[in-house]
Amino acid sequence: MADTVIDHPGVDFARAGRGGTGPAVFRHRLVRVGAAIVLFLGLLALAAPGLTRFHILKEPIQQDQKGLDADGMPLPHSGGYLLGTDNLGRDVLSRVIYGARVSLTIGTAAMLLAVFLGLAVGLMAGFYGGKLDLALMRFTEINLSIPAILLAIAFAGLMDGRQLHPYPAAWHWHFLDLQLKRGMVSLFLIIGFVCWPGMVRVIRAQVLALREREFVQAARALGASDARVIWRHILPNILPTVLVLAAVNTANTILLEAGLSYLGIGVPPPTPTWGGMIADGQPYFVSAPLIVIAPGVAIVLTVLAFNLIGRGLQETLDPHRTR
Amino acid sequence: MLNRLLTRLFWSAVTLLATSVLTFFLVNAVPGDVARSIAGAKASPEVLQQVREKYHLNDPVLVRLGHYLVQLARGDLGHSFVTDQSVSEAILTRFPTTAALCVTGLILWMLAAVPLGVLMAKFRGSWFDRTMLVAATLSLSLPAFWLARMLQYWLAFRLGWFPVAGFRSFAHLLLPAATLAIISGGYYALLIQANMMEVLNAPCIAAARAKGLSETAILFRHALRNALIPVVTVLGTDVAALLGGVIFTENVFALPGIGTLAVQSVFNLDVPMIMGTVLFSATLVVSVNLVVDLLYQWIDPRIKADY
Amino acid sequence: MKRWLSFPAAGLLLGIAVASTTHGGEAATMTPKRGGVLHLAQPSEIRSLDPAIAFDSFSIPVVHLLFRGLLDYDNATGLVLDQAKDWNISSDGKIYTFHLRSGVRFANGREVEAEDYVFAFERILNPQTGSPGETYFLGILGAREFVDGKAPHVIGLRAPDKTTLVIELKEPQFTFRYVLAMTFACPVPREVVQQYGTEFQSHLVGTGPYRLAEWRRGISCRLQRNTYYQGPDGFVDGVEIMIGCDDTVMTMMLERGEIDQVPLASPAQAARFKRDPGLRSWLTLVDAAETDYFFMNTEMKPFDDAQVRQAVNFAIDRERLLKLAGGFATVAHGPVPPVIPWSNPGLPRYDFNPEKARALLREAGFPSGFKTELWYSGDQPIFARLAEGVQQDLRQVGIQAELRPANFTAFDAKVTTRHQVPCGIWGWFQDYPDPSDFLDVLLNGERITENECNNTAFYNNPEVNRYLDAAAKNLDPGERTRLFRQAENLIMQDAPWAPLIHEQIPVLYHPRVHGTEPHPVWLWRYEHMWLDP
Repeated sequence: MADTVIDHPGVDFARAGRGGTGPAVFRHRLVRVGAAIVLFLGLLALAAPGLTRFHILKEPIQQDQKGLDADGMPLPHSGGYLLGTDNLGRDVLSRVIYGARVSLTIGTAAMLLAVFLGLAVGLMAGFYGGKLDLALMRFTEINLSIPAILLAIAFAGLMDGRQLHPYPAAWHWHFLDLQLKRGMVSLFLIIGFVCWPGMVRVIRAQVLALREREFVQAARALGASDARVIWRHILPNILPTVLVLAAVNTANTILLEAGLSYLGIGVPPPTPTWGGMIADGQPYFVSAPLIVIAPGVAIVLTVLAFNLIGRGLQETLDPHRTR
Repeated sequence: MLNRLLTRLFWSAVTLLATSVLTFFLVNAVPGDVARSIAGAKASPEVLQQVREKYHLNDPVLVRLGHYLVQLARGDLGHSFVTDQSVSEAILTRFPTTAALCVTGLILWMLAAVPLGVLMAKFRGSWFDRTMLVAATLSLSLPAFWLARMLQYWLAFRLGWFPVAGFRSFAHLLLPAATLAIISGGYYALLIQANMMEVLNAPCIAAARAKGLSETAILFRHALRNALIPVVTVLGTDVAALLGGVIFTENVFALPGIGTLAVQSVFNLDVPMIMGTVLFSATLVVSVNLVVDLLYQWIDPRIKADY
Repeated sequence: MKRWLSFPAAGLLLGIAVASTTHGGEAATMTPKRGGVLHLAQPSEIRSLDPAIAFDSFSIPVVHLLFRGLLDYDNATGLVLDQAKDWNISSDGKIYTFHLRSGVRFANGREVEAEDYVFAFERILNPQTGSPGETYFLGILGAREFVDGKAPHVIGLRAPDKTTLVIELKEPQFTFRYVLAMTFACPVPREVVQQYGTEFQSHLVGTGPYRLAEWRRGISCRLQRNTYYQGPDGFVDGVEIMIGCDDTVMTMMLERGEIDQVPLASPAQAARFKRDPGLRSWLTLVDAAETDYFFMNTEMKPFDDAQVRQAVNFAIDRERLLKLAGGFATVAHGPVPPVIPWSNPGLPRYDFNPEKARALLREAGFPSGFKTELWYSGDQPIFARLAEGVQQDLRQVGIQAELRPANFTAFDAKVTTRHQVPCGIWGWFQDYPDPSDFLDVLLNGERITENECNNTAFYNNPEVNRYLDAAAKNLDPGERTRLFRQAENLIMQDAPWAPLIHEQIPVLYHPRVHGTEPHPVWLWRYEHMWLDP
């Protein structure tokens, strides 16, 4: 498939000072809205322990009797529970806030991995061309033919409950008070791995076009090494595209993570995840719809934010690209 | 043209082969005791050994790969670990449901996306355009499973306008198809809008205007046709993404399609079924891509695919 | 109410017709109407409808529609004749003689012969079939030898003529009669099984009121009336089962009238129906003949001390645990569930008394409690909730129990191995309605093995073992009751377990379905259900 790529005015980011296109990006309304939402959620996530009065990460599957009524059913919006409680009596609002940590962390980590891989492959293919290009693109195509989500489900499902040791068990970091459990690491690895092929074509096309530009040719003629050319000339110029891809990709990774958690093969309980909350809340939907609605809205808001950022960036930085 | 076709066919076949190998390794390389999950909870060591022998689990990986490929060549995708049913039979029984769902969804979203895209292009910059932009972006930010649940609950359960789940009649497809349409439609509306705008600025359109053709005629007869071409290609590559939405939608509405099969087989650790569904989807994607590519070149021979 | 099993032993002939005339006793103001199609749904794939293989609570009521055998249950746990017209047990309790009813045909038209029963039983014993019911038939004379391949046939199974079946046991076994009422003991047509081999699954032929019309694996299953069936069961014309929807969707479909039953509704749905006055009549609670219990490994410290175990029993607030089960349970005071039916007035009671618990612990030498690990199967939410509940109770008396959830397979392997698990929570569902199924299988010291041991408390009290062994061989119901009661009393004194609850299964039915009275063994009987026209 051919991408219609239009040259865009040579923006040499490396030399653009404080002015230039920097502020222009943020003047775009969509980007402002999107960024605002993301910032808000990010702050919320960071501040989670302080904001919520209920400590929910203390013990595994802790059931809070206070949060349930006489029949053992969740409470509606009442008392200290702004959004009611869930099936184990835990405060829904707190869990939604904590869920932001999981989604944002995994989403961003997976995106970074995917972008890194996509960039690497796209750069190599576009810059060097020839047989390497052919081989890499074939490989990408093969990866692309397997639906990402299916692969992710297969991976995550097969690994579920297994003792996977990609790194020494001693690495129990306390990242922002959210213990980095094995489940989360495998998850972002899986999601990152299924997402990278989607970016390669676009990056490659851009690199191909750039390769033929005069300033690149000139640099090479002057004897600059490949690495230098890539670093100083190509990378900065594909940065806008990469940023757009990154934003949109984060939206996708968050959706993927939510989907996997919904199916039960994402981050394992009791860590609150938006997808997991929706799955757990389904049987209680009729009596306590907020358990399902609240995390859903959270997902939509977050994903929308990243999509808006992506769209806004695209309109500002890359207005003529159709894909 | 024929040369092109053959080349593409050849490369598609190679892609499929490579995909099967890749799938095989991915699915089988995951740690865990497959034998135990087949034999069941209380299997004794002897039974486990029998199972391992029956499924050649003790053989080195390359030998197993060889077996698998030979089987594939014969068209045999193996048998389910769980029900012993033939994998290909299971997939083929369910494929019509998924296909029906996708086609209905496709029709619905084209019905929505095309007019929307056209109108957005026409009224570029207006509040209508801006609102629709946000709406479209919103629609593709919706998680499929959540949207499906919401639609199911409000429209089927509370209002009773549609059946809740299952696949006993065509009406059962409407709500799931609507879910797919909403999720994917937004993207295509935006795409059509962008294409339309580009096309509308092209010289041939200016010429048509100069000739005095009406705006409507221009919009629909000339511009749209050209704008749709890239959409067709995007559709092709998006089959893979589409299947993602299908999986969750089928799950929520209990439609007996490939999506539910895939999810069930993962939970049952039914390795042959997992591989079968992944391979099948890959075949679908590759075939659709091939068809779309050829169609594209036939429609517009100026554009050459580079590989 | 539930009557005690009143089945006289040796040499009695039962000439009672099949149960259907007494079904729906209390609600019998309405006469059942024939016709209509029953729409059912199941959350997961039906693994098998082959009577030799099916062994889960979803499949068995369906298998019971397709296959029938010698005996069946009446509305409770009394046995009645089904497709046998009389039977006789020899005075030593070892030889069962059945005379088959005439005119009973398979769904393919062929008349049933005694040989078909022999074939079916041998099929179950045949290791190649892989039947989970094999153990139930090992009591037959010559069964072991047949299983081991040393004999071509089972000596104890004889068909002297076409309508007479003789079964000889190695030793008298009171509970063997219940085995004959299980779906395992249903005849299958030899020629069909041999013709189709493993494909018999898709071409099932039995003597039940319905036959298999169509089965699309993982998608749906359709049953139609068996025109050769002459019994009184089976009012609806057909049954359609939809496979693969989850509990939430099923409930929505039920309320919309798209299906007629939600078997095993989740506590969430059941609670909603219970609270809504308009929906309450849709909910039926089936007393499951099962017990969820907290077992303590009597071979591991500190649970080798009876005082500690008794302390645990006093520490647990069983009433509160009921709430954790959504209220759909009854308190368990002993291992044997009352529904089978069973009563034991002299059973030692451990009412909730944390003070006494702490006192006992002090006496036993644990004034400040101790630490231990509580294992349970994390796959089932009820166990997770019970585990937390018990953990909280134990903490009150100083016992720090660390929760160790495991998936079913791992858990099963772990707790049935000796010297592995100090304590944990598990449940046992009856195989047949007899106290021996709980006491003998789970608490007889002579059944302890190094692994795959059902006696997870590894409890061994020679006196209890004697009572249980005596009861196994005894054929007099009154005497057996006495023996079991004594055994159970001793067991609860020693307290290798803290029995927790007997679960109730919430089932939802659409109001247009009748004949939905629960049954202690079958749980529900589709063959007795009928629909409003």
